[in-house]
Amino acid sequence: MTDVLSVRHLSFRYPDGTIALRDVDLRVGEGERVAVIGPNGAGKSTLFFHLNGTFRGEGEITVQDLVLDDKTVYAIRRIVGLVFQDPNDQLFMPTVFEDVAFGPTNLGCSETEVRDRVVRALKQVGMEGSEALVPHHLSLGQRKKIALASVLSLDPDILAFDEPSGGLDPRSRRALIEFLKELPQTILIATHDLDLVLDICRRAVILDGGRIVYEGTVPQIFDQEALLKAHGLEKPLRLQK
Amino acid sequence: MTHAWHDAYRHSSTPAHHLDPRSKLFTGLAFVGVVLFTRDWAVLQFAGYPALVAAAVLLAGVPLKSVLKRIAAVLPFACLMLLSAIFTRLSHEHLAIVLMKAVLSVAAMAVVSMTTPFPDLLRAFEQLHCPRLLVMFLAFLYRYAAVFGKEVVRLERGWASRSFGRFWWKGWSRVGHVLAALLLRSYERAERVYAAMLARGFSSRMPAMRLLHFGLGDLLFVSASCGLLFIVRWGRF
Repeated sequence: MTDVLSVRHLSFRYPDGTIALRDVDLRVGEGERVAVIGPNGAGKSTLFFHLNGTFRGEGEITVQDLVLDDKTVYAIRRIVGLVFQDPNDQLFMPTVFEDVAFGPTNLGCSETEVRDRVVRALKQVGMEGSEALVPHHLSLGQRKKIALASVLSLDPDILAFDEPSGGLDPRSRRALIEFLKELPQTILIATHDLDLVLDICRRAVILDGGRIVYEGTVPQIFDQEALLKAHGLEKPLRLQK
Repeated sequence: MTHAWHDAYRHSSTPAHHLDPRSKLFTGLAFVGVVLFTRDWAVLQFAGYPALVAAAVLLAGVPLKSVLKRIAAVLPFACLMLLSAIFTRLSHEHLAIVLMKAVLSVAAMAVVSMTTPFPDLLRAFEQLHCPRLLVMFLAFLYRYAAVFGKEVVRLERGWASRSFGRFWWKGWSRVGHVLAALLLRSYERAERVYAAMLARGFSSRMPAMRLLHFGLGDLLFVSASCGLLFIVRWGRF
């Protein structure tokens, strides 16, 4: 399997001195679905912010054949789509249309293409016809869908989701799982929702204290109750006796 | 969650709601400009300007009560003007004219805002060549006022749930802490929003798309409105 994403010796320290990532190594193959699991404050979101160059730490990140630097950062942002934990952070334009169109317009697409992409992305997430709505009138589940559409409109090859099921009711969560299963892209998911991981991912890494402490297949990891407990996690409810 | 103070637009299907926002904004601003710069008020102006606003309210199907509520916002300023009139010996006629100008301007813009969704008004501002930075600022204000409002409500609940109604005056001394918490949260959110913008290819310019359509109806509306305004302002009877 060809690697589409590789992170080598990545370290990052916040301006207040907090070390968020320490020597992280991660490789993701084309079409893979990988979960990054770990307790609160483990560095999952920080790691994801590095994948498209929003944060820049020490180390090397390669996306497809591009090594992340000042020259390649915009090209990499076309490849890696980041879906934020809180849709209120991601939906910053006054209407759904403008939000979903924000990325394609920045890419320099023509108006016709932008409109096509918006319609396609909204249809893909089941929110067709919502173009004129304003984000603060939508439910959390709907805002999450629009946030996803705003990234899908960029046609990224890699999708990185930060806590995608956070705050969703069971029905919306189930719909999200079914939707994620159908996506053809390479997917990375940062989450505590291990039941979701069980449904979607084949491989997972445990991140704790800014380090990757374990890497393996999902069944391998979920079989080790002591390992999960040591890193603030719990076996998925479905696997508990 | 809809905020009445925040989303003035009323869903309806009157012709006024279907006009291009630019034509409504232009007409509204033209009205305000002409009213403000009318120096000598005769009967025609005293009767004509309110009649134009009343006609707009009727044609737009906007509830009169909502317009009056907005006009009420001018009252504190009117009281200040009244005080100032007492001390500066301003004539009653001048005071009435200043009040009329304020009330008519607010009423006209209330009709515009209640027949046009705010995002459309922003587009209109942008396409009428308002500074883009200002439009961007208003767009963020519109989007995040609701989010910020919810945070205020959450903080207020957290505060109320632990105050037990005793020593309420002590609680007020903690308003500063609440405001500081809000400021920090807003600052952190601003950083995350900027990160989200970068993640979708933002470099330094906000993308713009032409989403409005100026048709024959708009041309007729602008011409007729400006014609009537001209007659009221410069007409001789």
